[in-house]
Amino acid sequence: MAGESQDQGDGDKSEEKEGKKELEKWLNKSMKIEMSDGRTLIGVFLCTDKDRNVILGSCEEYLKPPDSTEEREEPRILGLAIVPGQHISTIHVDEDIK
Amino acid sequence: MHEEFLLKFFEEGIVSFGGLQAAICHDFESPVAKIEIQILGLLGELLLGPWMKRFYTSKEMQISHVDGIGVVKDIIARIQTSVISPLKTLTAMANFFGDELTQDDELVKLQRDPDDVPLFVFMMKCCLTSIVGVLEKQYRPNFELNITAELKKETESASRHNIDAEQIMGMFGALKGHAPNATLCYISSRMSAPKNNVVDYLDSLASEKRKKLVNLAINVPLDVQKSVVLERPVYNWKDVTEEFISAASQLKLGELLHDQSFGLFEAMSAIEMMDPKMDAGMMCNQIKRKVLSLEQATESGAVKSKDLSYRELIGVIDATLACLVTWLEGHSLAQTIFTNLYLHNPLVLEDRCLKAFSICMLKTVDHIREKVNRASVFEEEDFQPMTYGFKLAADVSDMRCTGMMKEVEDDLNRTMKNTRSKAGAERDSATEQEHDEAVALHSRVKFYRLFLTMLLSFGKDRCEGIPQAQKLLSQLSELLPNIRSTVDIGIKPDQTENNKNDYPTIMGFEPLVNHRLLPPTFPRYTVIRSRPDSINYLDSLLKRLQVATTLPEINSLHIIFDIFKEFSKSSPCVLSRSILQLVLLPPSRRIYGTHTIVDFFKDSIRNFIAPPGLCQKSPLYNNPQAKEYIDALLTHAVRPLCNLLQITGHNRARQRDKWAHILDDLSSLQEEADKVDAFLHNILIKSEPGRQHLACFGSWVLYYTLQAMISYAISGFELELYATYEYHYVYWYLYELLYAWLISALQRADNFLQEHENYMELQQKGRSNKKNKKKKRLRTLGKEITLAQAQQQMFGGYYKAVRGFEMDGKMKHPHFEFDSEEVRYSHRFAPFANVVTPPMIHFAQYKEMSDLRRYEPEPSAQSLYGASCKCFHQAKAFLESVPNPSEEIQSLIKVSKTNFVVMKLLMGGHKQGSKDPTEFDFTVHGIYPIIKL
Repeated sequence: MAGESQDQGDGDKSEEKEGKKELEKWLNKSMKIEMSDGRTLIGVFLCTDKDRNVILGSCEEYLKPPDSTEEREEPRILGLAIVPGQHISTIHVDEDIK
Repeated sequence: MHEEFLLKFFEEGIVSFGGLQAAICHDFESPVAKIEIQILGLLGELLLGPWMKRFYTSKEMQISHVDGIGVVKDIIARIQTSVISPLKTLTAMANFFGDELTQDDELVKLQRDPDDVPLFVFMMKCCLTSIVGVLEKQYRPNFELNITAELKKETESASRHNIDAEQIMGMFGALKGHAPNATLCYISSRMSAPKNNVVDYLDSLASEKRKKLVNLAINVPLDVQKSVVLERPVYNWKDVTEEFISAASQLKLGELLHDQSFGLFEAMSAIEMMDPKMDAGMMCNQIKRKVLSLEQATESGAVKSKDLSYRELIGVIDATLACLVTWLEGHSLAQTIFTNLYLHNPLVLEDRCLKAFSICMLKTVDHIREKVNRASVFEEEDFQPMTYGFKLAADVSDMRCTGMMKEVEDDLNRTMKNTRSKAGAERDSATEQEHDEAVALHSRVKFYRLFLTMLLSFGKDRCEGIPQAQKLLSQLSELLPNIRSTVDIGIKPDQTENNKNDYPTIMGFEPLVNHRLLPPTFPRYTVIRSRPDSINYLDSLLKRLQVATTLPEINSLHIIFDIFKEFSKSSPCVLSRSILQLVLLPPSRRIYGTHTIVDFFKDSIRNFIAPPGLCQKSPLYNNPQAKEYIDALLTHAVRPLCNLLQITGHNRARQRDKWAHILDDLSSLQEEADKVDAFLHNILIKSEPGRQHLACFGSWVLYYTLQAMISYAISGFELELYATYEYHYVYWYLYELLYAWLISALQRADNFLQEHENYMELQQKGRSNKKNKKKKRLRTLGKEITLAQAQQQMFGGYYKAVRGFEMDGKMKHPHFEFDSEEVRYSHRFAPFANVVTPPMIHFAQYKEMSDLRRYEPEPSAQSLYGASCKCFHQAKAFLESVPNPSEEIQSLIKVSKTNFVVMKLLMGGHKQGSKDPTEFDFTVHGIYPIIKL
């Protein structure tokens, strides 16, 4: 299938490879995405494409940014969710401190 | 006496239970039992023993699944030779697997000559035939397999037997029996404990260590819970927006970056955010106002919890009813009833009326939910039983709840007395208004109290509450007009404009309060019914429930079946459907809570066909073997026939599939019934050569098989599945086959009834002189026969008309590429192929049987119209002969009359040569259309 073409052989541009490496580094890490309507999603980064549509696994939805000082709200469990690229405002990745 | 025994028991620890032993000895001395045991033993040697040995082996030793099919095939062939001569099993040297039998003492004992050879032959034959039947039924699909090496490889890992599954199921059943209220979780851990050897492991530990471990196990979940509540995972977020965007833009068009384990397939099940069709969460951010809970709202003063005015109370009550009705129409509780904030915690409410009503409403919801769940005649589109963890006022008893309502009612009564117009005294308009509002509120409070009481009385054991329910229903109906006329008094939302999920409401209602509870599926938009609409809904609900109260007077299954089918025709709501089912068959699984199902069947059969086997005067009645066979048959009949009644409780669209499904069960029941009839007949002719017992139980079962087939065929019209160019074979099948069989089955039954009455009279004549020679028949199926004949003639009329239209070019046939009438025909009647009686008419046979060239001279379109006209005329005559015609019959008369006239016109050459397609108008009746030119 066209969409599933893995990187085939020698990439022409080294820059392209670097971008990919960067993304692969983030795979399966926790990711926080703020959407254009103000909601925040937290889930595991599973998949993306050229238009930066992002698929998050075990995704939770917060109406307000969860770090805000206000009382903690209960998230809604969404499971697997795809966020269209044009609705993504910011992306954060969880950096493990080891 | 018992005390003595007990004392003795305590002293000696032993008591002889001579009685039991004696009983067993006595039973085993009966020649019949001996033969039964001999047959069982033989079958064990010949089939069951080797079967277990061959198939129920450990995983490593098992033979391939595919080879097993071959083995079963051979077995069936061997058994079939034994069916022909059952006596050979007495001399057999090899078992059904072809392996040699070990000649030991046991075998010699088992193979010795039985005392009653004919009985042995008969019983053995029956056993073997049914073994073949079961094996063939289960393996038939397998025999048709084309066995290839590839298939062998694919099925390599499949288990040969289901003994593990059986064991688990058995354990589950036993545990459920021990603890009927246990949760699945509990049962599953109870089962895993022995299965995983956890208990053994614990037993093997030293007691101190064990104690430590158990304590740990108890504390771990608590700790986990605490940590979940207190400490969410702490993230160390780093903004990577820029990097991400630039890195992603380097991907090729269509390229996906993903882990090995994640593919397109997984991606498909993701829900798309910001898509209004999929993202239920979008709503929450698009509204400006803050969504408040009950506590927040009362604190802020937006919602009053005390001193509500009458107008406000009436508004809340009516709006809640609208929610209740919307819930009953298949929406979720969270988006209907529980948009009413007051119901979230009625105990904190200070207004007495509001509190009582809220508790009463929660109780009502709980009872409705319980009834609908019990009857289980709903599908996901009918009803949502999820409660989302809301408490349904379980801590207040039903008595207390109705008591609270009654108190409020009494208060209102006093107000009404104080404010009503007194002779001589002028009322000011304020008092008058207060009076009207109090009356309106009073009738509502009373209504919901009685409604709850009515639900409760339907739930009483042995249908004891039915008379009360009947009374309550008429009281409720009397209250409705007043509620309807005062619906405008209640407060109303500001504007009536509705948007999809959020809509203006009155105080105390918040459509979005439960939004976060909704599952992450696509959003379902709930439009709450209008208040007048929901009152109409109640009105028809009450009328339908009246039907349920008349049920317990009826003691014939076929009449109940007719009532159920008739009831279903009006597409009743899920609550009335469930209550009807529960009145007939409450959770005690006794008909009307009093008769066992088998006894009820016996009574029904006596009323339907009066078989000698169930007649007390008949010698068969006291024949123990005959009785045993009949009981076995009727026990087997319980499941399919109860299912048949349950089908009528489902919504109309779901019934069609279920009719098709049940034909399998009915067909095997039919086979058994025929065998029992044959057996009883053999016994009967020995004592009474003049009488017969053939096709007694058989006809009874056949009647229901045919009813199911007819319902299946007819439902296609109602569901608008058939295209007009398909009508000819559907009409033909109904006319020539199904109704013809039904009429003959009914006539056979009627003859038996007649014969039975004659027989009873003969018996009586010996004692008393003939009193009334022309006695009116006690039981007859006259009405059923007439109706079946009328319907047959209707379908005959349609069939002949359709054939005429075809000939005249008034019926368009599509000419698609690859179109095949045969494929369509086989598809339409596919479920009938599993039924043995009546046999399926295949397409080629249909073509041959319906070929007009068989007639001399070949009929013209005109003569077909004439024949059709005659059919409709006859149908009309049959229908008009029925005394006290129901609404259904009256509309059928109307249809047959109109069609009769239309056909007469066509016969006379009206619109001859016109190629305009004929129309079928289903507005008067959903199944029998009016033909329009």
